[in-house]
Amino acid sequence: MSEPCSMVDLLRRRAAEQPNDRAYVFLSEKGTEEAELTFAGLYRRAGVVAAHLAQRLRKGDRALLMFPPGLDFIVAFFGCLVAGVIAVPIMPPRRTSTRDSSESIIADCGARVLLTTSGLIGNRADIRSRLRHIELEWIAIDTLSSGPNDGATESLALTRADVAFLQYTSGSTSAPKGVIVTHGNLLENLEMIRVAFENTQRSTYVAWVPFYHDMGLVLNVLESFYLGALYVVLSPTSFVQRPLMWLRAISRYRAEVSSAPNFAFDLCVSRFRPEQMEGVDLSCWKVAFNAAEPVRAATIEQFAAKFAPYGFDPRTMYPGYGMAEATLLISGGRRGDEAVTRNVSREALQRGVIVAPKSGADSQALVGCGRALVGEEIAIVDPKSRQRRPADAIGEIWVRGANVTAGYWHNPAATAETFAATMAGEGGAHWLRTGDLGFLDSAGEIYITGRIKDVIIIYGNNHYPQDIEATMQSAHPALRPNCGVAFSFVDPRGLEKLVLVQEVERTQRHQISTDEIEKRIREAISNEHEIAVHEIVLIRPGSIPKTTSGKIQRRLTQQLWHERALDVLSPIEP
Amino acid sequence: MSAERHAAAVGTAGPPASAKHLPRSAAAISAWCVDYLASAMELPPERIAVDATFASLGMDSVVRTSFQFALEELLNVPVSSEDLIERPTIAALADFLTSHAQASRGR
Repeated sequence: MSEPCSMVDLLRRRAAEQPNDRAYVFLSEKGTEEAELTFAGLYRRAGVVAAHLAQRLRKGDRALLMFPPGLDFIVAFFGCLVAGVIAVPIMPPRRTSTRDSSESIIADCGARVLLTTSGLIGNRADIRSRLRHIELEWIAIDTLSSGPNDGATESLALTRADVAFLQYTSGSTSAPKGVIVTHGNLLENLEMIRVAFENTQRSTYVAWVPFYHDMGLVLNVLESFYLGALYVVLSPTSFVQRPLMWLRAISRYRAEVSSAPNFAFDLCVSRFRPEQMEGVDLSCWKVAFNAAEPVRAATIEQFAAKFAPYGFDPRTMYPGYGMAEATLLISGGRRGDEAVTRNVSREALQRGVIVAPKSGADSQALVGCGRALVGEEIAIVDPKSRQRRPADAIGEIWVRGANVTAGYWHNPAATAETFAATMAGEGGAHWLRTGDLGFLDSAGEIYITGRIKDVIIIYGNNHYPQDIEATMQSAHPALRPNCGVAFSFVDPRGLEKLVLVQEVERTQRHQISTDEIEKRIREAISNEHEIAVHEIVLIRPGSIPKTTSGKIQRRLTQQLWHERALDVLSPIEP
Repeated sequence: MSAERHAAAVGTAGPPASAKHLPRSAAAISAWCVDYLASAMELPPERIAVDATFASLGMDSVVRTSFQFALEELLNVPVSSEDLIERPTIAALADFLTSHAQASRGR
């Protein structure tokens, strides 16, 4: 078989070679099969969407994809590909949020069409009213019928250089960055994942990660399709309500591959109920991919111990590392190999040095996230001198390979900074700067130890400090803009926690109690971002660290917080 | 120790739900909610005021969904995400669920 030249080429082959095989099944919250798509059905329905798009848009135009959980997203995504239209998946805005990224993403990508379902239009009038002043045509793809134009996009020639979709998980709400993923990037990374996971057409997938998340789209929807395998889809809500339903589905469909962020494995342990696990046999599960947030050694141990009696093999645990800028996967282990952990000195790690622990109490277990993929190179680089660092030395993680994407949509400055880094003394080769810190051991295993980019990762979702700070400062007039910071730290259990530091204005100080201010901040953060605040530190006016040009210093504030050296405001009663 | 604390953080069920002893009064539902949220959010129960909004307690998406489902299991009535948005305190939700539960049992 010759190599496919695009995802659409592959779609035609799948529809021709295995028309009646099921590509996707969607399970209801009760665990029953609610919808399914065969490869032929997917091709036919995608053709209907493509025909409607072709009447409105030209090749290279953008269309938004805003879908509730279900299979319609997949039809719409492939419909865009068939029409040569660039798909832009976005998350439906939360009901409780007042600001979210959808408007700035629409402005950034210039989409004029939004694909969705009649169900979402009917149930979420708030979204339409939120977006009412944007000129946007809403198309419910479940109501489209076939017409004479269905084959019209058949002749469209696509190459590996054509853009498939934009992934907007980078950048803050006000300045979103759309990663440009080409057909070539996808085909390359999907092949890298196939090799790393040792996937075959029989590698059934079960997963609940949402499709607007890069892991949900590339690793699950597109990799299973690339293989010609079945993917059994659960909704994220089903999973959080009944975490063990995820494991029951793996057992029932004899799934080989299932992936989730680290917190999901913890949730299965904490919500374990033996009566819900009767008859479950997890011996079919070969790759339990754990990525999208820091992987904890304790999680791996506890999950393996809890589910070993149900056939779970500890060697199934497969920690990995990736990001949208590299299509998805950057590193991973080998199917059947046990996850690698390394005990290092906690004290030295805080200074950025990797040495053996001095005592049991000083020992911290780091989980290896695998090695570079075939056809890809990973380097550890000093972010200041841009010199390559040796094994066991911490630096910024840089990546080079065919999975590294084409940059950020219409953003040459950010693209040059992130995608065109060059190493001192190593010629002009371009590298992707990940903004993550880590080290490689002598065997090439990568360990992630921190971040130099300003991003906070909770439940596998990226949050940007600028957005959280803006929400905090809108909670009360006493909280002045540009006078507070948000950052995260990793607690002794290995969990990432949010901390807020904010100045309180002198003139406002006696209008409101510090308790009331904290309450309002928590409320605003919960409504807007659905995350919990671990600690709020209110400080005296003028005491937040700033540069001479007046820019707030997040790192320095974090360091002062760590040293308990902030100028904390004493509690005020109203 | 740390494992149990983390287990609480991601939403272990609170007091066991038993279909034979459904809490009937708003006060009983309220008390159950306080225990559940204190455990799930790692806060002392006295910090969980029944008239504070869920958001002001710092509820996150996972605790919210787990809490909603735990209430469904406890009372054996459907609880929607809208119910939690429209009645955003323990007191308001407990009142609503009391009448709701009685109505559905009376059917």
